[in-house]
Amino acid sequence: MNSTGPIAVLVEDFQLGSAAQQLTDRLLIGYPRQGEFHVAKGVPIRLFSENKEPNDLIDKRIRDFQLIDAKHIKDALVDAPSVLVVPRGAGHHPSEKLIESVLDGAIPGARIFVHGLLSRSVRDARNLVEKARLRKLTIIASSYMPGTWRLPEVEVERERSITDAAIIVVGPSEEAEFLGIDGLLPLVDRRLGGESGVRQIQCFEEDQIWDLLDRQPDIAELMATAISRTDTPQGDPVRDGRTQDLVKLGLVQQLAKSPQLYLLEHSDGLRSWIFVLNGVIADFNFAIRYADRSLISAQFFRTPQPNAHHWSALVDVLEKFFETGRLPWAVERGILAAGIVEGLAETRSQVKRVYKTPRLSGITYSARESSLIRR
Amino acid sequence: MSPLTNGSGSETPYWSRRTFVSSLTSAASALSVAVGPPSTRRVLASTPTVRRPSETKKIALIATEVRQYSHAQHFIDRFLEGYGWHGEHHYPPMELVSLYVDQFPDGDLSQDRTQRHPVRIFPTIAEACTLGGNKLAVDAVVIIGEHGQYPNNRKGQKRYPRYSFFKEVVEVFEDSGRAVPVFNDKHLSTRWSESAEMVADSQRLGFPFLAGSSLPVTWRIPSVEMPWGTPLEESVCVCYGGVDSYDFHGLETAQCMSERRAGGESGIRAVQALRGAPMWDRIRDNRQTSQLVLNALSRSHTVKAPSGFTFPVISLSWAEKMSPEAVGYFIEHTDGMRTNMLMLNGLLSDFNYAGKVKNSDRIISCQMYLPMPPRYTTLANFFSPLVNNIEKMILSNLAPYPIERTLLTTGMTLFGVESLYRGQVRLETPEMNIPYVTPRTSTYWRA
Repeated sequence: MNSTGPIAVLVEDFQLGSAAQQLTDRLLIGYPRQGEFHVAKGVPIRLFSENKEPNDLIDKRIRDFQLIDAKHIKDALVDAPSVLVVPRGAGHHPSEKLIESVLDGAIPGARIFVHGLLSRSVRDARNLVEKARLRKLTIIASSYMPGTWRLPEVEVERERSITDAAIIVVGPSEEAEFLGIDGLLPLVDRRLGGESGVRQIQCFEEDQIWDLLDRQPDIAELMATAISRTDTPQGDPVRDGRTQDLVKLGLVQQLAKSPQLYLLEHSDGLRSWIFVLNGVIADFNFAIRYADRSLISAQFFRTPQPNAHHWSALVDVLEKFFETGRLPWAVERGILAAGIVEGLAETRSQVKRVYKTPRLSGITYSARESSLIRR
Repeated sequence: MSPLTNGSGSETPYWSRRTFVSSLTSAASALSVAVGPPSTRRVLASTPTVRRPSETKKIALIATEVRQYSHAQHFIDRFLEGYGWHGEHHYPPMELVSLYVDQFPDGDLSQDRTQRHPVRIFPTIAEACTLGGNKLAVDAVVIIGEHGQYPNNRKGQKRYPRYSFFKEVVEVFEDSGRAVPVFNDKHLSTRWSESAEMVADSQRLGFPFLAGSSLPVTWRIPSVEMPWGTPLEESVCVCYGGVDSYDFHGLETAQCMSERRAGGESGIRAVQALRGAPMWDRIRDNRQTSQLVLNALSRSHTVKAPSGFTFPVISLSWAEKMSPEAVGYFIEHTDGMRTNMLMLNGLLSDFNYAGKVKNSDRIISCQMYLPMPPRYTTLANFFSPLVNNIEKMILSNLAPYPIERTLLTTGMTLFGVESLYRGQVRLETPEMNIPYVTPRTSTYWRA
């Protein structure tokens, strides 16, 4: 851990089970890492919460773990070389106020980690990154998705061409879409040539999805491969425990509640597919097709509540980032994620229309050499 | 019929709504004559199933009971409906053709399964194995003697009829002059003599005999194997559950790692079980064991958190506070290796392993992950790798891992129960002086 100064944690709210609590506690108390309980010693943690209601959880941490309660943002940021910003929820609605405050008030050279999205607009995300650069700050953003365990422990082989990638997500629309993007980008940016940008986005709903799968059996196969990794099929398995081939029995379309499918066409021809399939399964799974048509697939393993140690995987990443200053992934990934979220919102209102994304088509970057997934 | 079609014989892609509705209608019609409790019938008639070719090996499954989440349900459905495996929905290349079901509780699912699949329930085990004829007519037998109403003995062990089921199967083998592979779910029996006799029967008649828990073959987090030939000196499993129940799973968790040590498994010299304060004293008194317990706990995803937190600082004092009446089985192997299995009820609800390499600081640890319904999942997919290993045995006529493992873990369980019954005494176990060498090949789920 960075020994030169404290960590400033800026949160919108601090509730049990929230991202703010899960992340802060791991920095403050420690967390299981590689078969040991890892404790980052000697680094003061200063917490600023926008919610000024009395909070027993914060008081307890001040009392038992020497958490420092910062009354104002500037009190948290003073002399802090490391900054963590945590909005409410899954990070799909960033706190522009907190991020702007950090960019204005962080000390030069500070390393800033934003939980979730940098912004819901590619232009704003670019501006934030540029502002950080001018102030000699480093800012990255992510959820737990890139680092958590995968079942099985597969990773995309670097420098191999990918033709199609699919991720299946569930949950409230905007949250699911964000987590889908945040799970997908770290997979596909390892391909030959790295990330090439996204040139257009298209949204499909309900029967348009099944029609598309009728016409494109390769994509249906990709979806089936991802679904084969689930531990949570809905319908009959819930009622009587049976295993069931949801795809071949035609149950996906029967079970799906307001299904959505997004097609991202990358500048190099890669097609990424984000399926939002509430009612079909209840976990996140992906499948990737290499150019030689071979497939890899896995479940993103989100571990049981309340421990939820997928947060440990993320803290492991951000702790190393704070300690070394080395970026775990390219800053551009956060910009692209913001742009895709923006694009998805646009296409939702104009279903099936191809939405050109010239501002995303030039966002190129390469993945880091090593994989971040929890092993 | 190909598993890639939906049963209509049409070339229409299988995800077509039109095709789906058509097949549903015909299936629902066929199911209108289903027998069984009305409540069950209503729920279960909802969807059709994919059928497989019939020119395959035939399996008989002998079950205590078949209801949601009973062990038999998990096995039967994987053979009948297939399961997710290596990135596809896998259909076992064999056919479950007959069932013997001992009990039919409320919520019985066996009738539904026979209505939706070409599998028959026979009134006796012998008839399930002979398909009603005079001679053995199946290519494998799967015995699932877990769950159901059976009496407990004075030590608190439930007398599941695994031994008697097995002996009835063996009788068919003997009468038929041939034997086929057998799988026995969980430990062999609640008596050592019966368990040893089951293994002896398999050796006498020369049939592959596979048994045990899903723990050795399920996902590991992280995905690690004990390198074959590791000079291991101590294994610890921290888990949860009851005596004569999940103790067996915990012992299998540890033994599938311990047995890969240098020299192979040497056999068991003694077993002692401790409960409560004496168990915690034993742990605290041994620094290495204490450390391994902490390493194993650090692999858990379910450690109980203090109020106002979502996870705790891992420590022995917290573990003892949350699980004051914990039970531990302390196993002495004949070569000096030690295996400790701790059931820490109240502290956690998963299975975790840590092993210490001799003359080294190296500790190998992982969680053996059970995606457990209904709290966390809808499917108990840890049964999938177990079924897959059964398939491998049936196809190859070879057990993927040795029955001696299960015989010893059965013995560890039985003598652990006995130790508790006799006041937590240490029991010498000369009958468990059974060395074996496990294959180098890993059998756990990782792809």
